[in-house]
Amino acid sequence: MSQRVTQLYHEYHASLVRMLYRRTGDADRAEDLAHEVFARALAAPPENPRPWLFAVALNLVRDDGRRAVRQGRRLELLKAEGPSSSPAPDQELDRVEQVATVREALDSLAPRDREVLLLKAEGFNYDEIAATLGLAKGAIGTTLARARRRLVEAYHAREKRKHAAS
Amino acid sequence: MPHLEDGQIHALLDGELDSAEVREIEQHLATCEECVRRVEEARGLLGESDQLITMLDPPNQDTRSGTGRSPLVRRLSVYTRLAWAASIVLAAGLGYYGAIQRRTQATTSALEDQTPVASVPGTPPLDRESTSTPAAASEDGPRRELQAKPPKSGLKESKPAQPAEPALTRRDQSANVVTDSVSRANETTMDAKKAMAPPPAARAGAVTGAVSPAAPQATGQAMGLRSKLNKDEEFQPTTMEEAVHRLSGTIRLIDGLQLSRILTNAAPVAAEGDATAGTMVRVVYPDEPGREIWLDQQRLASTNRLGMLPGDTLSSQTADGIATVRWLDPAGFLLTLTGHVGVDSLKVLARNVR
Repeated sequence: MSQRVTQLYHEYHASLVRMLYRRTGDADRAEDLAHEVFARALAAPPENPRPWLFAVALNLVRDDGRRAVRQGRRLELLKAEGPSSSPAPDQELDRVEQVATVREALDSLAPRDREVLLLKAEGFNYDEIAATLGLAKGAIGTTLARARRRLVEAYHAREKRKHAAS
Repeated sequence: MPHLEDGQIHALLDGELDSAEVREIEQHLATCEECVRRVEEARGLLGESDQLITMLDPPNQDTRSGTGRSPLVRRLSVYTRLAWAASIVLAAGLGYYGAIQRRTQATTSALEDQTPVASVPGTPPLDRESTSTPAAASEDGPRRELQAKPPKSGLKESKPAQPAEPALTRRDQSANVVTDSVSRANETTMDAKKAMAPPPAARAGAVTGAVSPAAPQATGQAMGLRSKLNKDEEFQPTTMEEAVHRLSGTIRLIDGLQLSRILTNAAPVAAEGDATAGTMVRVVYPDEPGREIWLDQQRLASTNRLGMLPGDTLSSQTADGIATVRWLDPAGFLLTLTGHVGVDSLKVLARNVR
């Protein structure tokens, strides 16, 4: 059993952490949540591991987010990005601000739209996305179309506001 | 057939439709400019949203995973003069950009033969392009190649220009450079469907980890490509983990394709201009026997002197069938795809670089 989970870990850990980081913007939190996912997999090995792992991860993010709100915790989006080793400070600042804008745009989406985008970005096909989120496969294309449009529009709206303010 | 729904269009672009559905849509697109426009718009949205998502990746985090089926996106945090030189010689040697007019001052003197096209910040890569001669040869060939062998992602030897389907040909002939991109949407869409949808085995096994330096050596045409580009000898085989570790950053890969090996330049050198010292990475994908596709990637500390803006795309194809597509993404990655395929095939592949 543990060997299978070990195999799952090797196969999916990086992808899971990346998805969680994209969602949370917090590297430590992403790692913690990923470990929690695999701990649960160890307790009850899933039959269809990939959708199961990511579904659990997304549920944990939602739960963690609600808990954070209750505790008054504020995610430090910029801090989570970390310093880059080489770019000049102003360039790095621009990049960090741009990333923060993208994250704001992503956060502004409906949870389902956001999750569909994150799973697609991890290479999930429509069947896998449907299995992970409990949706009909036929709804994935429409959901993705809406999510992509809203993300891009939300990003540009924030960029426009930012430039207008500066 | 009624107009396409948004979900259909995105499923098409994502390679989720079966061949019968694709054929039906293709027939509709051949006669419906409105839907062609919407497909093109959806392509832009898809590309831009993908890029926005990848911008959320850790900027300087070495996860050293190299595992998982999903597209790996690792950012290169540094950039080298050697890397620049490799790009320059690569481009100059093939005459890729010789016919393109310069927009801004080149980063180096060798860049004086390159000319980024006019750009509009914020638009997704590959939406705007500049194709050097012989442009015509690059348009219709790839489609045929991709249709002939979709699971291979169209990575075949380029062929001389061949006539496209009548409707598409008429559309292309009547379009100017801008609308040509729109009118080719159905073509490219089909390419995307056929080229980018990997076979189940490829999906399941894509990017499963470190690549052995002892990966199969390219021969034949691949060696010819290597010889012509004359740069591979400046690279050394490495593993995924080593490449990521060495770069202390990230690497970009073609989603759904199994790479054959990873190369990196031997030693970082001092930076050119405002580029920082670092490493260039070449990810090599197998093509037809003896052929390869190269994905070269560098991250720029600043693109000010490059003469390109995010969204700019340069593409060209030589008479002997070697095509290249270079683009700058919003995250500051300068990415170059090179291979014995049509420019359109490379652009389809570029869409799935994550």
